[in-house]
Amino acid sequence: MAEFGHFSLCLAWICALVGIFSGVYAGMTRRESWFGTVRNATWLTTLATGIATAVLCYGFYVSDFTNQYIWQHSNRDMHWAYRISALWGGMDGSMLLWAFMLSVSAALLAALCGNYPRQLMPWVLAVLNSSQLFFLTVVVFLTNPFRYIRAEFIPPDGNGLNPLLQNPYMVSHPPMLYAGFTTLTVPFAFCLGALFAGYLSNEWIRLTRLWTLIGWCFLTVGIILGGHWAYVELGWGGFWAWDPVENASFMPWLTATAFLHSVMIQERKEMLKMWNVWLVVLTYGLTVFGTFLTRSGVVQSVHAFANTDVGWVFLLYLGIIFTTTIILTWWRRSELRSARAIESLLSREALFLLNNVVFLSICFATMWGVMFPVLSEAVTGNKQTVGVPFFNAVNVPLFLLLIFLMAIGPMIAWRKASWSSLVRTFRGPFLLSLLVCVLLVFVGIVDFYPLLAYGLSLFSVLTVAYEFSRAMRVQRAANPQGSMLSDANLLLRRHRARYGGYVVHIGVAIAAVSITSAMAFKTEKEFSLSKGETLEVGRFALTLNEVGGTRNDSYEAAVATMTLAHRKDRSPITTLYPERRFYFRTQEPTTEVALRIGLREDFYIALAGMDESGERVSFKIFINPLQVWLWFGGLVIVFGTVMITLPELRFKRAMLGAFARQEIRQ
Amino acid sequence: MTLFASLLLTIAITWLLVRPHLSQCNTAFVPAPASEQLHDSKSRLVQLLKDLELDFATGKVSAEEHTQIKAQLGAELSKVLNTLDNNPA
Repeated sequence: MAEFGHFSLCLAWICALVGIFSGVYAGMTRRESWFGTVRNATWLTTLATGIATAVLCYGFYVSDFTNQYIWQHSNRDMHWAYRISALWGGMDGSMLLWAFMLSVSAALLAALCGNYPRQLMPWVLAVLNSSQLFFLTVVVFLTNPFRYIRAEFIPPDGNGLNPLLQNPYMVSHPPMLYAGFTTLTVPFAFCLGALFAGYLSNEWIRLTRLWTLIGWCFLTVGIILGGHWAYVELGWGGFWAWDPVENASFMPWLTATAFLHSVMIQERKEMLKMWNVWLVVLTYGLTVFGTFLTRSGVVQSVHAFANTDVGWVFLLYLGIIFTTTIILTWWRRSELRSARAIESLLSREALFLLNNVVFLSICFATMWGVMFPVLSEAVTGNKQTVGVPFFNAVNVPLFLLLIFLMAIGPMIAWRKASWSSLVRTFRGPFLLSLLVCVLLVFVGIVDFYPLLAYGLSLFSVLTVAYEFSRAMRVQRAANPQGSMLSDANLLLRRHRARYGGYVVHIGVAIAAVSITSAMAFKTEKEFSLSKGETLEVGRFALTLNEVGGTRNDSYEAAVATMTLAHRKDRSPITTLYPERRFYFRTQEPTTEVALRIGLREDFYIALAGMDESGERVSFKIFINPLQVWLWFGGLVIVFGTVMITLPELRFKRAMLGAFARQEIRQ
Repeated sequence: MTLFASLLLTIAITWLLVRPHLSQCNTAFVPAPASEQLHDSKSRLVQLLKDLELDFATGKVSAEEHTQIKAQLGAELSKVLNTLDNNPA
């Protein structure tokens, strides 16, 4: 089976190569037959990569330990779902999954390309095939997951997967991120395709918006799932540590978000054409750079794959991408000139541009922090790392500025706004936010940053509410007989993309409040208890009832049984069971945290260890205020994105149907 | 078995890559259905006009700019509608 898997990968590599050449040739000669070849080559690449992925999945499922990769990352004790998800538990399989998901995006585009401009599509598919060729080159020649164990004796059982990765979030988080990365390759392909073809009207931008939105949504979900995994699995009470691997997914998210905003300016005002080209290329470049970071061993991270020697290939590829883009943008510079200039700094265009600059500043600061150890070692010979305080010191003020821009940007007029209209629009929300900030000072929140973050988040939600109420008044005036509900429904249906965007902003504001609370008001305590002892912390009282042990084939564990009660009247809230496990195979201890989730705060406890006698047990607790609202904010963001995306999808489906009917008529 | 499957896959892939050259006689690009692109443009312009009206009604666009953009979008839309009327297919 393994030979068949590798053979399929080789065929996929050839198909991608054929796809590039036939795409370029079709673009240059505009011959239908060559266009047919590039489409078929794209589908066949998907088919062949899909077969290879299925073969490896099957190998994991049946525990085929003649395969070195399967032996390294699974064992017979693992649940079948984790055995299959072990496919992306290591370097080789994760690259294969990436290649497969990229090929699925490419196949979808090839299926839809009857609706797109024919003179553009061969170039787009050629670029997409070149991206596939790169990842397939890595998989086929450098990280082949179909290698045999070359020994007389085949081990009866495998090495197993890191216990931390045997978690439902790890089944879904990496594929979500990869889906985001690979979907965001499509806008890149459109961008370079448009530059090659000289098709630089606003159409390529409009055609890619749906892909960018879907990719952005996948990436957002992937990042949130990763944060939730870190929160429930790693036992340090947080969800984000500015780890290089976290940053690797965060940086393209920032540039993709910037693009989603600046694309509106190009669509409406024919401005920022060159800027948008570079944002798209930068987003794709950062996904490749992220892969380089996690797989080259240049930065240390708990999530990074083992040190490998494939880093130079990614750097070479990045060099090719950016050199090609520089040449193409220079060649097409006259067509990429903006039709208009920004007329006033007090306009939506100017604020959206500022928003882009802030997004890129956060991205640059993050990259600086990630690369600082490498740069410092190169310059001084000493590796110096920057930690969470650096990222927070630089990025928190920038994020606050973003929330401010998020509040005022969509409400301000295009081209030029007057001060009087600004005062009229923002007076109510501003005064109300100010009032709430004053109340917060009275209840004891006096630190500058938390106060500002709460005030700005509320301000952004209130401006959306105020905008909606103004639009409702207009709607009511136009249709006095209609009910409030039908008017609201009509308004949302007519301007679904706009209100979808506002819903995303509300989700961001909710998440910002939660993150601020977690950063500023988290309670953290380390302590030890004996059986029957009680600790009072915050509004809680925690009693250790007993400590027991449990054992199965994979691990043995110490399990504490604890009662969480109200401090005042000692009425019980819940029973918690924090665990500390010791896995035999990996010889590593892990913590299984116990969590009481509440709307006001999460009570989070991890069993840190026991003394020699087993009498005293040490724990680490965290009380994270408003933590659950971060995940709720994430859901709201996803809901808003779906609201924007659905009408476009429906429209595309209608187009497909019409196209199919036309094909039938012909 | 593996050899047979590999051979079959190779033949199928080769056939599908060559097939367009056998069936489509090397003709020039068939233009994408014009009406589909025009309907697409129509929907986009109508949406932009709706947005403009809402922006104007809620005070986000000045009267001067409203008139200017509306005239510009209206001209684009009428061009698209005329082309659609002339090419109903």
